[in-house]
Amino acid sequence: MRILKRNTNPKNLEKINQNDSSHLKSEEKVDIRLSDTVAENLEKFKAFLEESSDSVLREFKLGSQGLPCALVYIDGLVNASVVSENIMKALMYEITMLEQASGKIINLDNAYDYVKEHAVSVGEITETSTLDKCMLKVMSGEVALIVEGSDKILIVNARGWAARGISKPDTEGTIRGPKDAFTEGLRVNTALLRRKCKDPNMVIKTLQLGRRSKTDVSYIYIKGITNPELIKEVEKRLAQIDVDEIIETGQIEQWIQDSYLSPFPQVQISERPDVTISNIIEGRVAILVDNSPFSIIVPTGLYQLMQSPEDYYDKWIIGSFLRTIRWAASLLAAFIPSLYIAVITYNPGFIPTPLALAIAANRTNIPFPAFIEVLLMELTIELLRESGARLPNAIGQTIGIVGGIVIGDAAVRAGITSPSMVLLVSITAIASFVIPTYSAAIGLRLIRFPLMILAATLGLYGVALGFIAVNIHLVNLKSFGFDYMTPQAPFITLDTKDWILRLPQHLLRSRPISIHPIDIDRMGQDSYKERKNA
Amino acid sequence: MKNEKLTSAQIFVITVFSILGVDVLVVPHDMASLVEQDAWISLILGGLLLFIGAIPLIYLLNIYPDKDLPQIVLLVAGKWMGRILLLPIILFVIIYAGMSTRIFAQALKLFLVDKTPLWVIVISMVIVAAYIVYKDVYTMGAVLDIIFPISIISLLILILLSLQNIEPDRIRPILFRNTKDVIKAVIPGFYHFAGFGIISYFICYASDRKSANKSFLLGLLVPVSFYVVITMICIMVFGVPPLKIIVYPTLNLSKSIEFEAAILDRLESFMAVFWISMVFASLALFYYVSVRNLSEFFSIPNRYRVYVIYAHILILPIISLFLPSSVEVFEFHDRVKYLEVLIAFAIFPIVTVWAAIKKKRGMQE
Repeated sequence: MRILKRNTNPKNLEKINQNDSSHLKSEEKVDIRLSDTVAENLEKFKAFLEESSDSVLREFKLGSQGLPCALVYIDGLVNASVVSENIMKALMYEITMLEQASGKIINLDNAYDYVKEHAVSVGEITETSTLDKCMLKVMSGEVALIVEGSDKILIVNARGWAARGISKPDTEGTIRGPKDAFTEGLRVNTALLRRKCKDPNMVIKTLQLGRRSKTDVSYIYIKGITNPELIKEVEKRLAQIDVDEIIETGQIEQWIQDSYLSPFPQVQISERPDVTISNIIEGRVAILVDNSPFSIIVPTGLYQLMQSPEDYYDKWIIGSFLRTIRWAASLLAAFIPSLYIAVITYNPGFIPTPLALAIAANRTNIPFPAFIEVLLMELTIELLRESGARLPNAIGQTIGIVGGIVIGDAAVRAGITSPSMVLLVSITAIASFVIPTYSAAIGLRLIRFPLMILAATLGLYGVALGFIAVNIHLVNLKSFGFDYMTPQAPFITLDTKDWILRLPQHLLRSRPISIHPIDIDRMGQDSYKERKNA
Repeated sequence: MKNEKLTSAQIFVITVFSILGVDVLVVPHDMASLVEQDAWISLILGGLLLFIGAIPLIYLLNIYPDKDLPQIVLLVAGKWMGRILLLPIILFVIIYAGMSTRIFAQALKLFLVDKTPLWVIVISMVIVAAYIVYKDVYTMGAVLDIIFPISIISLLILILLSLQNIEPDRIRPILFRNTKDVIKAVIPGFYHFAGFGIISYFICYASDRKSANKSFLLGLLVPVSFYVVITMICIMVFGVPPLKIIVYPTLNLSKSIEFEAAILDRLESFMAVFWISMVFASLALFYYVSVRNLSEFFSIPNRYRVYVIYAHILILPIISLFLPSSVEVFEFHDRVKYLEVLIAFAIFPIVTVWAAIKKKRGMQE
């Protein structure tokens, strides 16, 4: 487990006593090649682990000859009963009985093979011949077994640690559909995916990212469906990540996204295995990170961020209706405040006279122009939302009620804002909650503010220009090189079946063409070839 | 994976927006002033002329499938002759872009933002157009894909809602002692289809050339039929004498609509909002074309393209705003269109014949 760094802080170098070796990193002191005596190998481990209190270095004698052996593991990362039952008991007690029964003496030459083949009763065993590989395994919770007379170390998989159980999804609630969500364990998460798709072509490749954290990162796709260029691109972008630590999928997202200047998410984040697997089967690539209950799905597009798994679980009419509502809500969330400002400030004649009069009557006592009024209320709503998210669930709800009713009412009575404004701001807030993907909702919420400034300065003309500018930005955005605004721009007729409307299942014959899957058919008949031949 | 090609649908949309621009606002007024109630017939004939003009263009573009117009002109006619032939095109494009921005800004000022200074309207639109031109052809095609349904739906709503106000009698008598004017107005009718040549800067990026040609011809049909219909409806709603006074009859048309039980009181502002995107699309196309023209004319390499775009942020507002009064603007706008006839029926055919001869010689050798 080598962590190579070129630069050190020059200021600290002066303070450090050059003869004192305690500040040196262990890999600078130790030769990573293993020797064939237990004592020497153990010294190498001790150089790394001696100072840590959670490390266990257990020495014992093997068989009738009393060959020295040692176990190295990290307490808390291994399953204690596996270590004592399947490793310690086997090596200290059962192996002696076996030796007596077979009459074959364990000596320096055959000890390692004997242990490997006859003693340890654990499923997954690997061998390593270098210290750094071995160290990585030990730090990930496996047990290193050092046997006298061999320059290889046996690695026994006895991982086991306390983990949260599978629970309901927190951020992507649905009424129908499976109720399980990803957890922090990478293996648990891949198992959840395997449970949902038994296709052996589904490949789960894993690599370690982060120089120090060595986090397992898996990317998952189906051979024969996913575009090989996409897989290559994913591999390329993951390989480029060179940082100290990867804690969450969000960090990976920021390293692999196409544009860091955009407020819109260029990957889909999901905590639902059913969403993830259906995207994988559509021809996308999912990325799972150890210790994170979220998956990254690439490539994505704006249309995908408006989808909820329920659209597919319910009847198509209902699904289409809900989706239309979501698209309308996303437009409302982004544009309603700026339209209000523009109309009130520049074109009050745009709205029907009675309503215009009512709004004007409400606003007579308000000391601020419409822009400041909207800005104040929008910021208040953002404050409420943020505090609601940070507080514990029970208090969060209270804050929602207090904020919504009390502050809104009090603001109107205090003459800071008008009732129509409270109504408008609440509609905007509710509309932004309708969008199923949290990060997309944030993006839309953010573009509201520049649009409001445009509305305040240029009126409806400014809003229209802002709309165009946002569209230019969105069209220009790419997700792993694929267009973000498909199937609208560029217009792809076949993909529009599963866009604003979700047409009946039997019509959704092909996978999304915009992401160029190899296998385009979702159903038995090869509709693509049929069309080509016709 | 980057697919920097234009789909046939995008070629279609680009063709529509290259013609359907600010002229939507003024076509009925202009044509009715010339030919009274038979304006629409002149427009149909002008549309036929458009197709005749388009055919040599397609032929020319197919000889050099991977080059755009200024490249072709310089290649065919040589360094100096090519630049002379290019000059009217450059002038037409840049003046037309500036003038139509001005006319639209005036309309906006009249109907939507009456207190905003003209230069603010012009410059802000030019800046957004610069942004899209900076992002290049592929982005333009995709953005137009988004704007297209919005514009077409708003136009269709306008037409359908106007149907309740029409009085068919106003369009009669058809061709009664008016044939001479109708024929005379064919060329002014054709002026309103200015900009069909814009496709010659985009079709070289088409992914499927054959269907792109079809999309182009199909795309020409949309603005022609729309202009004819909107002119007919304006004549039938307003009658000819008022139409000669109304400057922006299409916007007034939306004013005349009684829209009962609606949340929108004034449909014409609503329409103006939607037409911003349409005029923007046409401005963006002209902007791009002008940038290409100037880049080729002064042989500016691609890496300095950005500076040509920045230069236009200054040039276009200057052209838009240098005429003080709106009457002069309309007169000037009309005069610029003579250039278009020169381009469509002199420069395009000359270059096409020249290119065809060159191609034949090349084949013989």
